[in-house]
Amino acid sequence: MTDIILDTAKLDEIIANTPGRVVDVVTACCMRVLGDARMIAPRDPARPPKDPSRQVTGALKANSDVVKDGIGLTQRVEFYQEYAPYQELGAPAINLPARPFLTPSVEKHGETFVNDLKKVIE
Amino acid sequence: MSSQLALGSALYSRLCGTALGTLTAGGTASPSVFFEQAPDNQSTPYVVFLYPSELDNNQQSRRLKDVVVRVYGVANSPAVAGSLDSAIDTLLHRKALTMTGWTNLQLIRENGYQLVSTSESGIRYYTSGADYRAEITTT
Repeated sequence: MTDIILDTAKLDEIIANTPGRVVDVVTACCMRVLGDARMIAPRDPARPPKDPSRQVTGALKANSDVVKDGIGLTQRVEFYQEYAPYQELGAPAINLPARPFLTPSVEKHGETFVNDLKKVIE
Repeated sequence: MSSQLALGSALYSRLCGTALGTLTAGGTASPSVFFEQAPDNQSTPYVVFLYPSELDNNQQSRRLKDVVVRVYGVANSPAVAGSLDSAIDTLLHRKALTMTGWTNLQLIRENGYQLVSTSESGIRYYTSGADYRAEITTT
C-alpha cells in the first residue's frame, strides 16, 4: 500500500496571497481608468450651458473617485457630477453631442487588466 | 481610405436602409441618420452614431483595429426609441459590414443603455442605444 501525502503548503500560500494581489490589480486598473478619464473629461464651458461667460470649473473631473466594495475585489470608477452621463452619452434635449471619456479609458486599459490578472493567478 | 471613413460610410449605408429609414423623421427618402451630432432643431425620431474608442492592435503584421461604435435612437417616447434600438440591433448585431479597403471581422452588440433628457420647454427626449464592437483589418 502506498501512502499519498498531499502537501497543501503551496496551495495555502496561493490562496493566502492571491486575494490581496488580485485586489492590487483591480485597484491599479481602476486608478488608471480614473486617471485617463479625468484627463479627457470634457471641459468646454460653452456646453452646458451655452453661455461663454461661465468659467471652466473642472467639476466633472474633480468630482470623481474609485469606490471599493468589501475587500476590494469589486471596485467602481464613479463620476458624481449630475451632467456626467450626458457628457458620456449625449443629451438630445439640448443637442449636446456625446463626448465619451469613460468608454475610451476603460477600453484602453482592458487588455492590461487581463494580462496583469493572468500574471497573478498563474 | 482611412478606417474611420470606411467604417462610417459602411455604417451609414447600412443604417439608411429601408428597415430603419422608415422609422426616422426623414423617412426612406432622406433617413435621419447622423454622425456624432444631429443638426440643431432636428425633428425626432432620428439616429446618431459615433466612435467612443478605437484601439490599434500592434502585435499583428497587418493593421488590426478594435473600434467601439455607439449607435442610438432618439425619440419623444421610450417606445419609439426602443423600436429604433431594436431595428439598429437587427441591422448590426453579428452582421459584419462591407467596407472599402478593410474587412470587418465581426460586429457584435455589447452594452445597451437608455437615457432621458428634458429640454427647457419640458419636452422629453428618450435615447435608446448600444455600443457595438467592430474588429476590422486591412484587406
